[in-house]
Amino acid sequence: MQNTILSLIIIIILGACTPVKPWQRGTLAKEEMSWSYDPLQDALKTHITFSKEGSSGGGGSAGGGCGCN
Amino acid sequence: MGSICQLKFYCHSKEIADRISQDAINEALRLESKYSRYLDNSITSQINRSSGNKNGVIVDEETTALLNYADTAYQQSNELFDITSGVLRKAWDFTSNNIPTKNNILTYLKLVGWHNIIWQAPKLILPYAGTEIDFGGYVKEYATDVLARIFLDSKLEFGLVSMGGDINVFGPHPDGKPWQIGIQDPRSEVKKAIAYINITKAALASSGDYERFMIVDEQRYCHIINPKTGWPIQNSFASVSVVAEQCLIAGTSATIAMLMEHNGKAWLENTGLDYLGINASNAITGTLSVN
Amino acid sequence: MKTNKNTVILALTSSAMALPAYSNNTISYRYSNYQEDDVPEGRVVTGSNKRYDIDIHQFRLLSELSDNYKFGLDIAQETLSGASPWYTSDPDNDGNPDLVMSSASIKDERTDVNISGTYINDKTNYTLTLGSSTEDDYQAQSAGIDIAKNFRNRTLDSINAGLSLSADTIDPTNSIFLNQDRLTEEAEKDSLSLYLGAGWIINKLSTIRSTLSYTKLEGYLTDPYKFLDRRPNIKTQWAWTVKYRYFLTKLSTALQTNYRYYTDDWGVDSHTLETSLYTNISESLKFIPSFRFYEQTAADFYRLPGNTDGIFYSDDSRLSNFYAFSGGLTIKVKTDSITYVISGERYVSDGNEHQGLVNYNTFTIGIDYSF
Repeated sequence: MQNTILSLIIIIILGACTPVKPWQRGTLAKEEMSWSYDPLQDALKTHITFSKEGSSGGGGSAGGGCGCN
Repeated sequence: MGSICQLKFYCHSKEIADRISQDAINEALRLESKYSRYLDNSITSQINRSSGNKNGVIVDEETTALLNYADTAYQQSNELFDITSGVLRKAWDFTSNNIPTKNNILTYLKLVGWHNIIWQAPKLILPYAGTEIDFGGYVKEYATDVLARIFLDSKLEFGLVSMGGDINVFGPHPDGKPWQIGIQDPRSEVKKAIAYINITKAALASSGDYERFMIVDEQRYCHIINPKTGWPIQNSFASVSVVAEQCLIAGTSATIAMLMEHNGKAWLENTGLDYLGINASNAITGTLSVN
Repeated sequence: MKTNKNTVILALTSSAMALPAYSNNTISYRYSNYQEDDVPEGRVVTGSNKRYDIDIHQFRLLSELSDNYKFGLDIAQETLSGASPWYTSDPDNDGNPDLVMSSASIKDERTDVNISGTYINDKTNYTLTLGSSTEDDYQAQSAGIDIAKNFRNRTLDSINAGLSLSADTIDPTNSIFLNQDRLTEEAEKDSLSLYLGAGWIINKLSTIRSTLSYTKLEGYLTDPYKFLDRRPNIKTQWAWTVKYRYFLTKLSTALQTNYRYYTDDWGVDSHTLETSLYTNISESLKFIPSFRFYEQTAADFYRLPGNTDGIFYSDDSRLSNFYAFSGGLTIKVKTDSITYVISGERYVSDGNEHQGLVNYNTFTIGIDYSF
């Protein structure tokens, strides 16, 4: 059920897309709008939560393993 | 720098456009005041005033890198690209229509030679009084790249920087179409393009025999002087334009191609860079397609 | 433009790279400390109640060799000390299981190295990554390929896909806290992972990205340091993530939200929701508070003691039904070529009586230098 709602929200958001000219992308190029503004911090958090929780993945490139899980 | 600087770019906000343009202009002025040989306080003037002084001058990181580059270019060009050759302009006065005497040329020729310079970063020593170095042969192309970098670092990816014919196209028009760059007709008395080149993202620099010259007895003598003979180049392109990733590389390659005289075309072909060469009868050769 | 330049051009280019306008490199360093809360004293049967204390050093070098080539090097080194749960037991029969802990003298060091090379052509990035992780009792080698295609003029902004493989070797023979009936010699674990994702520009101020990933693990998947642990030797997992970014212009703040749904064939399903508010206090000062919520169901074979029958069994709290909250703050100070970073986070988990569920603090300081 939750996933259906989430899918609907996403479809509605996508339907509301307005075309953006390439030179209007200034805001989107800022560091704070990037998918990962601190890759090292993200790597550490991913590693810690992977060791302490039962889930993993979804982030993008799947790296190597460790003995911590 | 004595030439017109043009910034053409696309930006979504006027404030940002003004701010980045100002940053670029400031950087151009900084490089000019640092390296111009016409300004007393420039590094160039300080270095040249120290010629004959065994203690030499200590230079900063940017100047160190520029001198190392000049050293590399000297070695890669059979010693034809020589930043100590500027002193020969004192022998050749292109407004006089007179060819200097052999002694006249020799007086200055003995002060020419990068191999005479003692360069051990960061210390530069010009052992013989009267020796001069000049960054003018490549600092403008470097400046063009520096300015293009300012735009790219600010995430402005569509536009070009042009400093009197040295051009760095850091991105196409937003629809992906290239910029049309005009190549000056080397034999026209007015500013006129002989051909146009399309550039999407690359740098272009040109060198030619038409900027400062004199014609004596139907022979052309131009400002590009061979540092080994002391005489202006003969049997070279009338002008050559080279395309490379960096304007600095394009400019050095164009200059070396001219200095190689009749070997210039073969040398340029060997580099693998795209170029457009125009000979004395205005015939166009080279690997670049023109419109 | 032809790409094969001769040695003259290569010599000039590499000499030019030393000039400030041309090189684009970053070196980053982070020191972090991770500290788990002690197990409440009354809940430890034997062993130490002091849990993990880990020091982590991260080092990264990113280099843009030209418009078309990038290079990356990552080195991480961690030193771990502290005790960990060996098994659960209920000696006082009060219905609340206590922990039998290992001793506190566990000391382990891990070093992880990753090298990557990226080739960029016509808005498409191709990246190859090789990695190696080594610790006393565990070795992992990995390789991965990532492809990212960016579009210039469309609502669909990017497509990303990747594949990675990992081959791990476990060799836990140096510990007396071994699993009772397993593993007296080396064991192996292999994994394969694939993902596919796409990103869209919604408008000038917001973007969204979604990725689906699939991972298959095979080999020795049991935890050799948990007493009666016995897990299947095959596992399939799926994860679906959605990331959303929205810029609040008046506040000069970016809202970042990430959601992940995870499910595997061991019975664990989870939801993760993270939000940060990247706030520009000024050009050089950034405050980034963040918050995370996590919730998972238990693995099918997870049980607390009393019933250890069955082909598979685990009393590892990480496979139990629990939820967790964490909150943190990161502060960045940016100067011309250096960024200073300091951050802290508090994480608490709950949802059942297993005393193995952790609460922890992390603290990080670091620096990024561009040259």
